[in-house]
Amino acid sequence: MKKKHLIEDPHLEYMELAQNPGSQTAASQQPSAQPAAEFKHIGKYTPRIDGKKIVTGTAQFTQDLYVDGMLQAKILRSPHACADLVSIDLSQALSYPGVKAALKLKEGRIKWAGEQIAAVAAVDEKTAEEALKLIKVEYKVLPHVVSEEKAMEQAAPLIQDQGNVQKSNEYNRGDIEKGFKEADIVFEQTYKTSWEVHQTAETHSSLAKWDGDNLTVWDSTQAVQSVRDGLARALSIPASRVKVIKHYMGGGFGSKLGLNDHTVVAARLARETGRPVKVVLTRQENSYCVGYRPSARMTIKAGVKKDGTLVALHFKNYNCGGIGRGDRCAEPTTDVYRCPNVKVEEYSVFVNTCGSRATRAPGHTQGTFGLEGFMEELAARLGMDPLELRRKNYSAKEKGDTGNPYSTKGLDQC
Amino acid sequence: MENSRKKKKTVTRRAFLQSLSGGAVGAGVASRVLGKEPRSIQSGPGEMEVFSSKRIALTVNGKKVGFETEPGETLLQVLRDRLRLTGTKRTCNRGECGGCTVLLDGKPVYSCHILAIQAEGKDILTIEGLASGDKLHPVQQAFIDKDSYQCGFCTPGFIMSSVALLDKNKQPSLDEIKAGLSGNLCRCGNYQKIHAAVAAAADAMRRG
Ligand code: FES
Ligand code: FES
Repeated sequence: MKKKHLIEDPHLEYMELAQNPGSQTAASQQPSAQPAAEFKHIGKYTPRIDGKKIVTGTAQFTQDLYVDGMLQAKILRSPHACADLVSIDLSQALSYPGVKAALKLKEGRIKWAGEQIAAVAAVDEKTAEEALKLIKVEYKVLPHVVSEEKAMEQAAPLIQDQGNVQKSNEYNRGDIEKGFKEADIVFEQTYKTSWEVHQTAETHSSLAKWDGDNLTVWDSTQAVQSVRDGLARALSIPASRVKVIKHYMGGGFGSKLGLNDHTVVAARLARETGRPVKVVLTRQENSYCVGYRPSARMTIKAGVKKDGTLVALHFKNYNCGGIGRGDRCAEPTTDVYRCPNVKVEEYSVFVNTCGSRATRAPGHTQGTFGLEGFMEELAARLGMDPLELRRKNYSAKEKGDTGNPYSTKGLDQC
Repeated sequence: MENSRKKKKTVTRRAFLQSLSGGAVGAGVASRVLGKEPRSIQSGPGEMEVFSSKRIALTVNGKKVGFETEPGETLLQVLRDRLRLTGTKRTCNRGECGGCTVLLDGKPVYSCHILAIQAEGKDILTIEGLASGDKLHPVQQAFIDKDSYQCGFCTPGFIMSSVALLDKNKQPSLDEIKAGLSGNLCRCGNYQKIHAAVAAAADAMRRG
């Protein structure tokens, strides 16, 4: 296939790129440089069209919406990290003045503290909060584990039937054993990163309103389409009946990329009461119910020549993302430096906490911290300048000089 | 607004203070008033009747407003839920981020940590009252000119703190700007441009 040039052919399709990764080549020449002063928009200040609304406080975020007849919902959450739900009694909450509806949201096994148990919709937030206290829940509390190290022990309570430790990524290039044999020095270090909560300025919030069979949801979301499709599935209605609107969002950082459980709750309560229902999570709920960047425990082992040339890289990672899989963190190690022999093993460790979510450059933040920390220490071990070590192993293409060329990198110009 | 809680209830001073949302300031206030260990104080003869609901008046953005307030109701709740002045944001709701900053008799306060009754008779300025008609306050204009927001959720709080700072200090250094805004958090991390806006607003205000 004829190789296309990105700059010569601006119409190169993404699909084509994805199907034929080799179909583009790096720019063979710089585009003719037009003086910045001649650009119409680039390099020129353009005020944001929503600027005036933001600075006058009239930009309405989801939590700022109040519509006629609107109710407010609050969610009762499990205080136990692992338990079987025995019973939920909503009767007293339902008879509390001002409460318009209540829902049971859970049955069976609870796997993390913060799981939704029940919800109420009431005339205002305070009433809903009071009513939550009247819900009677019986739990059979079970042993739980929230520490990644403990979850790996034989005796740990099982979070998933297939085991608390599961392989999540594997990659091999060259022959790692051969690489280590060729090395003058073998060096190994372990790097850990912990969880990091997004803490968006605006807590997750949704407002749901039905008009007949049609649902409109205002949501503090990064992805209106996925919320729409998710709602359609959750409520068993066609997506064409669901409209999701987001005008302003007070930060997402990856934690608002999909449908949230509380959004479904708002929609269900709105359907049940025939009134719009808003739910605004508290800061506390935002801290433990809507994800975080998963942790990583990365052991990197390198084989190097005396002059700093990398000949083997072994990356082993235990990531932990609660009841869900953690991030794959190997890409910086497999990609950034030239090294013919690379082996990656990544495992997810499951514990009794809410599942992690994408957080600004998932996996790369942890993986780069590990790799670059390692390069610093390796340089010290070799008595080499850290920049020199990096330049020595510089790669102009991804996958350690075997993949696509980088469009910009610049390490060689440092 | 519909109100379902008309029943009279007696509120103890302790319950009243504890009804404040958590956070360092709330805990501090409670332990100062109640003694070192609020939990060890028994309810009983020391209890004080407060009120179940009380009519109060305050001035918000130059307009006098009167309403029934309930124990534990914060100024932030009044501004947002009763007056629908939603430019003041509920961000942490526990006195830690400055997203709810308003000016109370000219001083910046966290409205989530001030009770409505504490604001009785006071003058409140919120983000909605800052511009005069179509003419933006120089700080507002500077935030636009310096592109000092990303999501914009923290912006009203930052603007109110900046206005208070420039009222006290007409020509703040960068360090003074940072100190003046140290009670406000921006999760998008837009601090440099926020500081630039305050410096630009200071210049504009000095030039008149
Ligand atoms: S919302 Fe009041 S200080 Fe954060
Ligand atoms: S601009 Fe998003 S929190 Fe400050």
